[in-house]
Amino acid sequence: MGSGFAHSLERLRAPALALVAALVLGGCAASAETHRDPNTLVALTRTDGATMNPMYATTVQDGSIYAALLFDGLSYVGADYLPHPRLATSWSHSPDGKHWTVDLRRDIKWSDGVPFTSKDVVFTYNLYLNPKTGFLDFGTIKNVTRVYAEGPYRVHFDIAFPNAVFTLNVLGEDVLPEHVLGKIPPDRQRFSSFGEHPIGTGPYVLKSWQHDSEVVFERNPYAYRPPKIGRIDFRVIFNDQAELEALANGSADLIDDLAHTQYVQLQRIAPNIKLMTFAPLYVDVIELNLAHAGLSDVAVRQAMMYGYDRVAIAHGLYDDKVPVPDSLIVASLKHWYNPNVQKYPYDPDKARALLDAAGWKVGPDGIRSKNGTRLSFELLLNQGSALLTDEMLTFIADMRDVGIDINLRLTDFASLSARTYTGKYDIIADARGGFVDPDLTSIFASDQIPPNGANTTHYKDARVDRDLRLGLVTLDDAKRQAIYDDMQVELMKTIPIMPQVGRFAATAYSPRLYFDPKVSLQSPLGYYNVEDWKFVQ
Amino acid sequence: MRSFRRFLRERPAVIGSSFVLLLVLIAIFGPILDTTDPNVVVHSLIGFPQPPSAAHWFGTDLIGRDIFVRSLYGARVSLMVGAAAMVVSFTIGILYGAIAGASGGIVDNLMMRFVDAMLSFPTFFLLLIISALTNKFSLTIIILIIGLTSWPGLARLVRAEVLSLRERDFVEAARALGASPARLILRHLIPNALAPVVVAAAFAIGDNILAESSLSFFGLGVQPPSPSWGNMLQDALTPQAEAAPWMVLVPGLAIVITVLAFSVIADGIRVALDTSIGQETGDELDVEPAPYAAAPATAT
Amino acid sequence: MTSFIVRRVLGAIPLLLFISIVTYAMMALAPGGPAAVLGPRGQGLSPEAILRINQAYGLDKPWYVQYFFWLKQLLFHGSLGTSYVDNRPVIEKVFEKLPVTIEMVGLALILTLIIAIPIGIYAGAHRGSFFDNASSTIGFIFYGMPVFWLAIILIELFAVEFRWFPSSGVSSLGRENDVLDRLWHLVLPVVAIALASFVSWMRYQRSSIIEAMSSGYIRTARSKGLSERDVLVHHAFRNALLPIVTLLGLSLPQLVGGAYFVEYVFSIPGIGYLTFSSIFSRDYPTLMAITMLTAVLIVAGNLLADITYAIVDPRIRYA
Repeated sequence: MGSGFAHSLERLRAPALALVAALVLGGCAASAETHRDPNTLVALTRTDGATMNPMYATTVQDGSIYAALLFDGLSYVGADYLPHPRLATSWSHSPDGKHWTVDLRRDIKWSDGVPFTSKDVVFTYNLYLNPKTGFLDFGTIKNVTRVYAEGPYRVHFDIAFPNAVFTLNVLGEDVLPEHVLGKIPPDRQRFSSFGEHPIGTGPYVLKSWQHDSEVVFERNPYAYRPPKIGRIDFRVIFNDQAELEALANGSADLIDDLAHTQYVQLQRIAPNIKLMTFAPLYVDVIELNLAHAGLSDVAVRQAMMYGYDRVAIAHGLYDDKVPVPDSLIVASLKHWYNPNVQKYPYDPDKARALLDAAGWKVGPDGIRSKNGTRLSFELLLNQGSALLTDEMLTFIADMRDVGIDINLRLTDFASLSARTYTGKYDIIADARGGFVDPDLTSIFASDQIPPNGANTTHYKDARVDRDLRLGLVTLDDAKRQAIYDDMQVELMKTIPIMPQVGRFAATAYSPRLYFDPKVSLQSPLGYYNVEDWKFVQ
Repeated sequence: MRSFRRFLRERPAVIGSSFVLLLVLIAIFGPILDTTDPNVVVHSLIGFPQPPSAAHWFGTDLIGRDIFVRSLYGARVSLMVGAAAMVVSFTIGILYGAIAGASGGIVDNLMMRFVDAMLSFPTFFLLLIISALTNKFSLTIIILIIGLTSWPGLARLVRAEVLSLRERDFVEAARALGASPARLILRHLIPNALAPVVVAAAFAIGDNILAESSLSFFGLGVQPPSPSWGNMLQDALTPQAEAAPWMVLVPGLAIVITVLAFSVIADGIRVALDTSIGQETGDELDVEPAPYAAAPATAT
Repeated sequence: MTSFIVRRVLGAIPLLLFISIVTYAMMALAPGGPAAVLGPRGQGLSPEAILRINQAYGLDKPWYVQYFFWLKQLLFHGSLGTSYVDNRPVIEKVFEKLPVTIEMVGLALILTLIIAIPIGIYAGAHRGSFFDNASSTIGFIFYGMPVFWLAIILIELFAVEFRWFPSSGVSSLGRENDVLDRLWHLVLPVVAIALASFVSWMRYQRSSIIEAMSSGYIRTARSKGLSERDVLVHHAFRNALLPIVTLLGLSLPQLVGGAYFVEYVFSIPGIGYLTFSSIFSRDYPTLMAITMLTAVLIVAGNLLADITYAIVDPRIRYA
């Protein structure tokens, strides 16, 4: 009875084997070859950007990277973390600091050949300032009261009060073409096709885009900073392992944001791949809601710092490749970093002593309380990273040791964000950084508590408020340094935000690529001199 | 009873039942006998998962926690969630399906369309919202979530059974022989209707264990540090997993073996009830693990 | 038959409406809207920016008003709206992700049937044999594996250790239009899906063969002196394939929603990936479109299953 059946199965077997063989061999052939255009740089990324329109760019990928390839601002931030002229040639300000004059380059053309003039600058800033546009970075430029041109190569800015970060932040905004966007009403700008068909002054133009798969940029024929590399091809690969393989087998040239575990693996499996580590610009932090009864006591916050073994994390999870920062201003910002702040070496005995002295008595379950307030908190963390989860679990275990109870709660980013802004949280694990100027007004000024700003920890400190106010309007550099030194001292004494470890920053690239960025490519500044990158083999 | 003896003759089913019994015993008594804290983080072992050894039978994970002890606690979670969620979904599903099947006509049509609606919802989104809205994320919530998203598939099954039962030959025969309605219901309808339900219940426990592991894997189920086989699998996505396969294999195999056990038990029950009720052909009670009817969380 | 179909289609309309309303209401419950997810370089948005975003997308209105506008846009303009994330038409986003998922799930379904049907038939024909028990047990083992775990193991073994297949994506760099290359990339994900789900099909097939083979008309055929092989091929087969056909109809929605976890682990940008990312970024228009698409497929699938059932089994008649 089974014979007919088994026989038919038999007949299928040979062709099935042949098919499998063909696939495997075909695949092997595919992986062995790397016929690629030698003049194309293949860069890998884990997430794609959403839009090429810099007004509405929301991710690091499209906001920092694609925008850097396609657009320019009047200034740019160099490897020294200071602003330098880009579309501008020079700038100056009035003695009272409320008026700036900027001279523009005369040799610039948009990628469609139309000359760049002051008309574009005036148009751009007025568009950004118009509330109807919904410009995401509005908070940065809102103290500009008037922008107007004087001739085709000079622009004037009136600002409400002197601004020390004017050239850094305000002049750093990307400039948009008036002849392309001028006719669109501000509230329709978001729906224009500019996000898919951008026109800019940057070294590259967008050639093709398959969302969440591949973005190709080509040299801008009218570039005033013509790049040596003719094409950049970004490939989206969601997972770390696959990224590594593409780099190791030569089908890709660059991973700009390398995870620590990838770093370790690459050293082992592909020693010919070049690795570059950077002083990190981002710090993993733990943010505390100071409105919460237990957390409003500075003794508790300091005790949490003393009780947390951050070095064990840096050592165990990151192989000592990340620093354990003493301040929220990272050490790599040499110009502003103040090393003379209160330090918190791991000392659980000291933590317990502090808590005892402040009246937090240990209860029968090992958790401290005082006047009916228990030191029991909920820690919110974005789901999706086993490494961060493990970091937080270590933190929780350390806190339990000193008598503080913390429950971990994984949630998605939107919920996390919503709860942060509405103040419905105790503790949140996050990352901060990416800024090159110590002006942290939006995060720590007492008038910036949501919904007015981003001071989500509800921090209110008179001394820091004063420092922030003065630091912003003081144009003298030495005076600013002194002001922000003081701010750092106060911040690290009162700890609204606990720095944990620096965020690992490294890049892996093929030996045929030569570049000298000096700053991590995933920072807002990484691609600042992409026109100088070149192939050396 | 005849069914029970028949069940005992199915060897895979017996092996499966023994395993489950063992698991239940371990889950209850294990943590009492071995009082190691499953959540203790060992600073010196952070980043260096230890392979299985005499000190750590299943090795340690990324932050130095003993995987064997965590697996014990994970067993508790899986068994509790598996069984309790099954009770929730079956209570709703049986009632719903029986009413729909018995009513027929428009009521049946409407009720089944509602079931279709339930199955169309992006379940993951529902889970996300529920998990984001609940402040205290307890095992009860997880049980409710899984139970409330898996009853539609069961309702469909029960309804189909009731519909086919109404037309069955033996019902006609019994009626023809003068059986009273009560006798019909008690001696014939209920045993026959219950049989596939019991089988489905055993499969459902396995499905629910899979569902909980998926939820926990995505961070929407059992919250760390509480161990669950699902959230222990999160470590599988870290590249350290390549060098420390026990982190990936232990929780995964635990799930596989447990679900396998419940599956063969279900199969055994099916065979046992089948031949004892006196169906002439058998296998008409075939009830299958039904990923297409279950919540999409267990689907691929 | 036609009136039956017409009635079912008309009956589906209130269902779809109901699904759309409830899904929209669910979104109102979800904490944080699209503005919560946006933020230049992760530093958080200024309150003005958040306000503008909400106004631009009509998110400052109550959810039933928003729903009304969505419905109006769909019914009168035939448009599914624009995404909150990148302001592109939703229909464009859905259609660029659909082909990959359909390809993958479709191939997996074919592979599943190739495995399940022959094994199911053989097992059913030899009920109680070693093959029967072994095939069921092996099927249960694979069924018990969480799909994402199975995927990870397949990757570790075949992509990383043996290097036979790629570990992610759908195409090698520079070989996007190469069909063989694409198939090569799809092998592991397709195998993962097929292994995890074949046991159901196999056992449906098995039980229906058993039932068919011992039913009345088969005994008649045997008593007529036909050989076992003829009995099997000409009679049992036709009826045995019936449940498979109906199951195929019911599996129609799987073509859209069936592969979340596999897409995640294998980095395949398909509909599963789009669903996840639109949930996480609160991109409601896209989520609504995918939900409605799934609902339509469920209705169509049910209808298809019922129709084929009626065609193949002449005993069934719909009034």
